[in-house]
Amino acid sequence: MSQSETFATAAHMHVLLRRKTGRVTDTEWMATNAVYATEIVRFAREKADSEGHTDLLPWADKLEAAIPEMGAPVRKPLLQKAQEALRAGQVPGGARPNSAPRAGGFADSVPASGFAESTLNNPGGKPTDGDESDTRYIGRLR
Amino acid sequence: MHQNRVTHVALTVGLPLAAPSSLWAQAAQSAASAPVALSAPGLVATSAISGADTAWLMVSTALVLLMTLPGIALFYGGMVRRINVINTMASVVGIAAVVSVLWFALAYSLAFTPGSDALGGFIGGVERMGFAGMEYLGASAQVSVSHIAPHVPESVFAMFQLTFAIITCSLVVGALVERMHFGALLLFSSLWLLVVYAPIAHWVWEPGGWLAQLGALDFAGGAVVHINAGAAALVCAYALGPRKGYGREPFVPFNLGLTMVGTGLLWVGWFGFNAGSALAADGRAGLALLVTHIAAAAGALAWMGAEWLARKRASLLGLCSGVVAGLVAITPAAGFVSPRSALVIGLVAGVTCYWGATALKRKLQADDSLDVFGVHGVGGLVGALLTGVFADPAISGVEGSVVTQLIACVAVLGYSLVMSAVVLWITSRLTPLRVRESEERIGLDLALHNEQIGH
Repeated sequence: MSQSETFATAAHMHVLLRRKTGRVTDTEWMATNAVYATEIVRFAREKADSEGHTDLLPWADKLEAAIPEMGAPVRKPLLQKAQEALRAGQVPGGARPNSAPRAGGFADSVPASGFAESTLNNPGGKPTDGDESDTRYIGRLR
Repeated sequence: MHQNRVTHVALTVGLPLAAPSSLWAQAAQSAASAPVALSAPGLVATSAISGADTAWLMVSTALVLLMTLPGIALFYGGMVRRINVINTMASVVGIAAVVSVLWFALAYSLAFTPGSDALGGFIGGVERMGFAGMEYLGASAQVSVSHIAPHVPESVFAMFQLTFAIITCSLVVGALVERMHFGALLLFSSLWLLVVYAPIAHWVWEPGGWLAQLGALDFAGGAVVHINAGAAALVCAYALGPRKGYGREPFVPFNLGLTMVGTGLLWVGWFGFNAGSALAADGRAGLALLVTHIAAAAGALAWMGAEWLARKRASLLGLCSGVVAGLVAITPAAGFVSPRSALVIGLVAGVTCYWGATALKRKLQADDSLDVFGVHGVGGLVGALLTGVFADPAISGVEGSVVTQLIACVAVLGYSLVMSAVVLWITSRLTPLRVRESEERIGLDLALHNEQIGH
């Protein structure tokens, strides 16, 4: 989806949400920030479900399709992640699926994930997954 | 604390004080009369002025002004959303201007002159309105001095104290950003300076003030500046209500790089704030400078540690906040404590201010937007109380008392809470406090100033 199409989708969503639910949104932010856009998609679907504004759904789908191009990782609620993982046949938090054996060589002498597995900033155990960024600036600054 | 300053200064410049010269002649008296220790601002011979102390106080004045312009403007401007940066910075500049004029017109006199017999412990007089009597008479080799700092020109002392008034009023901005009318803010700040700041400065720093008489220690403004600003900020946050979308939408800071630059200016400027409050270029000022730096570093490490334990992250904003927490807490103690005590004060402040800006903030349920109470209010209280614990008589000749410090804290906190609410109510009777919702949504930069920070 081109950038202008993303902005047009965000503008449509902005108008619809204002008319249907009274929620005022930031169009520019919606078209450029993946976290905010994800929240708007969730909100639109929730309102479509709870208040019957089904015309929000196609625009929520279009906006969701544009999110991966916004350049930031898409954060999903843990419950949703777990449901998706179960559907995909994975055990949440469990071992990674076995990958094919590597060809060998120097690269194989270190864990595949390298720095991502570092516990330097998490002496208590597993690395944190960064989900806090979903709520980082909501209701608090520090 | 000025009483302590005066005692110290008298010891420092003991020779001129003891000399049977015209050094301490009152303005109305002849220069040839017997030397009299000043109890109010007056004229002295220019030879009584210490060049080194005056130079240091002038440098300190510039440093403290840098803390506000642009220190606080950058520090706060970086933390608000992009649509409100201009308004936040304009608020700081506007306050600096209006406070300066009012300081000249009335506030200095209310804060730093002795006042009448009946009310002298609570508010100063009006004899220095419009800086009346603040003279430099080169022809007769006389210059007016404050009785609080009789070895530097009163013009320098008044200017140094003005920078404290400016930064105190500017600190409050952090609680009301992104939603308060610019005009209402300037009106509130004007009234607050006269009704809240000037009396409290008088209580604590004028030798006749009732807290100074009680023996409360506040070297550079833990109570006068930080507890006072924190309390006013909390009142403003409650009175204005939360920003639209607060608690539901992410309020992403515009540029934490600006906040870091602001923190750097605050850190350096604080050397003028605390070491300048010695009112002399001497060993005590050097000690104040040293403990200021140690406490700032300790505060940053403590905040970082607390954040690390709680969230597994060490954020830049956390480090900057810890620096400020340590600086706030050492402010009342700077001329009274040893470097080791400063380390403890900084560490305690870092942790308690982290709690103040997170858990306490949630409990208070006020949209204190940039955590003015959490950092300055809590840090000021911690610093003031720990001054009572750690004040070393070998350093300043005075012993701290936790009970006296507690009384001072409660008095300043209570007065500031109540009178800030009154001032805010008066302001609301004259002009709307809060912008319209549509203005808040598009941002105060465009709505109030017709300017944008850029992309």
